[in-house]
Amino acid sequence: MTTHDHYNLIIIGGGPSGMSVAVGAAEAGLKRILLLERHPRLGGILNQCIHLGFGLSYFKEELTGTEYAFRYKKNLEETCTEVITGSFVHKLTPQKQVAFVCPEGEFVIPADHVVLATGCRERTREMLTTPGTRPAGIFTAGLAQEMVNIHGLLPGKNAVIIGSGDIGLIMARRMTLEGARVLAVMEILDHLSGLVRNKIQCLDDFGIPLYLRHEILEILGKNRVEAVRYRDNATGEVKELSCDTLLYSVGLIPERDLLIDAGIEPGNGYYVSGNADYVHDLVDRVTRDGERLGRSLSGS
Amino acid sequence: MDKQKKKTKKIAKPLDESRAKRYTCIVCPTCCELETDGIEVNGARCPRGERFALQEMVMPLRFVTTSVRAQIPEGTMMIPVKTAYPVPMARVFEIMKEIKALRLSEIPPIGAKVTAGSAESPTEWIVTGEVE
Repeated sequence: MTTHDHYNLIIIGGGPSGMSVAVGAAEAGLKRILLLERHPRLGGILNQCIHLGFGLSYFKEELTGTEYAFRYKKNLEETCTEVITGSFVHKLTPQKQVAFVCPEGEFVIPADHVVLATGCRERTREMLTTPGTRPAGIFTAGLAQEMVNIHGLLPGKNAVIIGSGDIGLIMARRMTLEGARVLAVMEILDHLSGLVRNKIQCLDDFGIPLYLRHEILEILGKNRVEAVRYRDNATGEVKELSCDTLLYSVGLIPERDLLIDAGIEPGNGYYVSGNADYVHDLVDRVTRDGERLGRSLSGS
Repeated sequence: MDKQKKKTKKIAKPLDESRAKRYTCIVCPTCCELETDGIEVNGARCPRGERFALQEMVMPLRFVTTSVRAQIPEGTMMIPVKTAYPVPMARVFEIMKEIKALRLSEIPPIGAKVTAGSAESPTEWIVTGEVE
């Protein structure tokens, strides 16, 4: 399966961060680099980002997320990095051994350096502990993005978006283009969470209202979402809005469970990169950070 | 082609106040606050922003991105595409209807052109991703 029984560097996660760490490390002269990706293909979250806005800084050109992934994969292919897709890392040890399963079997491989490039996960309705029933029709914005862009499925027809993060704004436009009605984007804070340009081209262009200082109080509905009860925190007024779908875009959490489960702190040959380190606004910065980290690693 | 970067802050040009409009630039994440009367542009930190403001005033243009269905023997695949050029905002829904009606019979490579819409007013799209 793997060509070596020991690697200079094992990277967990084949998104923009993991790929860039491999590219940087190869530049620094590391020879034995292994990249493990759980999905059948490299690219990570970029594969579902079909919208524009990527690459202005790194490639000096505005690209879609999918184009960015394709371009960067070319850089990776020029290196000696071995890639195993469809592989799932389930355990790390303090001795820098990486245990993973893949269709060929189960492996435990040691490395000089191990980089977690596992991205982040979306906060959910459960994490916000929104009261109410548990009907169908509640999604995180990123899940809805995968449904629409990759699987061609529309999550619902009349949607309310909770939170004004970038994915929520992008999905407000995407759902509208696909024929759904986006009734409102509700933000508990007094300011937008995402980029201003996304508010303009995703909400203002389509007349979608942004309600600032609005808090969701309860989800109503038996089998399917039927309405949300919410409060305008500026006036204290409580209202209800009929809808069949809720998309949560309420923040991202770096994914570091592998380290936490093993009781390992970053350092001593373990590194965290990209959105697993902290949530970045732009993939271009993820790439630059990852390349820098890769270049800083020395072969031993 | 492009002028040298101006290090000093630009001095605001006088605008025809009766026609002046404000926009937030969406060309890049800097989001410059622009003001234009259709002739002069204030607030743009790059020439692309100036062009954006002037265009926005006469006819807003946007790239549209979506995914189009390909029906192949293995099933239906969604192929990511973008318009080959920015299209008038006012036509976005019409253009979406056209591309949604389209069914590809094979998976085109990234960069390939796809044409949707009527023969009289077709819209060209570019495939933006690989699908496996």
